[in-house]
Amino acid sequence: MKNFNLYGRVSALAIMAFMLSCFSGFAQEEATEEPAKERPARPAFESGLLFDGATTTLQPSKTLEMIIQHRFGTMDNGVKDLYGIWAPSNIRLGMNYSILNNLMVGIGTTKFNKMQDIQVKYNVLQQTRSNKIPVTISLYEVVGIDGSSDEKFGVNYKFSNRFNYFTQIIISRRFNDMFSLQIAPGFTHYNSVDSTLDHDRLSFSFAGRVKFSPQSSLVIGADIPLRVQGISEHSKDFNDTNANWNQMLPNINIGYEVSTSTHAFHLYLASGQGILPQENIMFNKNDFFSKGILIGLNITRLWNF
Amino acid sequence: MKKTFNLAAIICTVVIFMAANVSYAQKAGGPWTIPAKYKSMKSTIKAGDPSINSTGKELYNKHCKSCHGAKGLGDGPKAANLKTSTGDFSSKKFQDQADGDIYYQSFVGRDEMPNFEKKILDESDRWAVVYFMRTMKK
Amino acid sequence: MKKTSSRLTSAIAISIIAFMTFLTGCEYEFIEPEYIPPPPDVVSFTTDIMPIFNTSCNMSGCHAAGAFEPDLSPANAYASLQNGYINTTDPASSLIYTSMATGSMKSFTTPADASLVLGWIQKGALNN
Repeated sequence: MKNFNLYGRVSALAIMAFMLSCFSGFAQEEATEEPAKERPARPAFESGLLFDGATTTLQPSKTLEMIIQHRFGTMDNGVKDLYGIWAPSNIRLGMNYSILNNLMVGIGTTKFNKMQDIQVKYNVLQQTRSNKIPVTISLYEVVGIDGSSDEKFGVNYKFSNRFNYFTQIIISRRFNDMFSLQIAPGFTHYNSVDSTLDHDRLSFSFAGRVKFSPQSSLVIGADIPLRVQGISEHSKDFNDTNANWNQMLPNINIGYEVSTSTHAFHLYLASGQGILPQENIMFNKNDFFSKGILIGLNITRLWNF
Repeated sequence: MKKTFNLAAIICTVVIFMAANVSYAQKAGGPWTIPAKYKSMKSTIKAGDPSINSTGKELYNKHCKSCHGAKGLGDGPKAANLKTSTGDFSSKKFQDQADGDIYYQSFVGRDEMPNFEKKILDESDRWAVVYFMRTMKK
Repeated sequence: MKKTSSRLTSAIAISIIAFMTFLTGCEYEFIEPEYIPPPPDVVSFTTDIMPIFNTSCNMSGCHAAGAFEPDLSPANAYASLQNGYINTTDPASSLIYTSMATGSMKSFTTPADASLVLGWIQKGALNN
């Protein structure tokens, strides 16, 4: 429906306006010469990457982060493919660079669908130690470019068919040294989809960590796609019988994080194999509670310049 | 002929193996040149601050322990790979230094000792680490 | 001044990304599948089907010799497919066809390829 053309543009404009106005708000804070009073809180999560998505943590400016994300196959074949380790797997290689203390850009490439991506993360608000600002808020955008062959997009192929977008507002709070929590509503848009699907999807993500030693944490998270008939392009009757609509499966993750001075490692069980958030929210078909578990592995390395 | 060749091969392998395993003695780093700004630096936290044993200890364990060891004796797992000795924080020589000197050595660093100014951004957190190192006194 | 230029850099970076998003975003296209002609009268394994495997399937790490089943390398393809991947009594339920048309291998092949494989099975899945 053409309404959503307008909806998308208006919301993007609103986000831009919000970001730029918060910018000037920040500049005012710096100018009042009271840095000793408002110290930023330590980051809620050790790394800017958690499972498939982002946290509100940004590295200081001029930091380069190299990322390797790996998802094995599902475990439902048992020992036959060593619980997914020998099965077809997905992998992403990426690099993130912090231009400023609160702005990061990244690029990456993923195996499934030959997806290239550009990412931007911007920290709008930073939690302070005195609790004057109780949460950290970040904006996160992933622009994906599908590298599959032209035939995938049908007879009216245009280059812009390949694009897909994921926008998320991430709100996190570091409660204490042990416990942090984050929630993030998100919006996914694919420029070109099969005729039985919708182009847009809303989602809700959350993540939490329990840090039980200086370097180790237990981390848990989920990305939940939401069934909102109001933004669907098909009728309710069609959707009720459509498997893509009925079976929107969340991507659930639970695992272990080790973070050192320069590295972060995540080893965990997941259900989404897509790696990019939009792929998991649109297309995840694995049910975490019914033979849809796979092993995920992330490695990041930081270089400070 | 064949036997001589085999013997020569074995001797060469053993010699190379032994040469590769000689551990080179680590050199102690020379004296530090501390800029005046750091020499006169004062801590932003007080001596008994609770953050020393929580935040200070946590940050030390995350960033420093792998080379300097849990008790600062210079026996961390990565220490053996370094050309410079990682020192002994429990020694009188180390502890007698001014606060600002330890601050400079820990966060600005030199040579194999990395710069940690971007890893630990908050001033008071840095002093918590410095004071945590002071608790390692023998 | 340093503060102004860093604000400016941020604003420029964000504007560029937002602008790129505007240029290419907000499309609502549906995929129109291309018309697939019916398979020819004679479908030959060596000249019609093997080229599909060679282009899309038997590269290193995928269905090459020693990697994932079935082994679709030129030497072993026909023999590997006999192990439960072909159903000549109900061709459309053959595993080799269903995984190419709608299953896990869909993103690696085209609908035309799948249709040709189906045609080959319907004509007896001969080693011709």
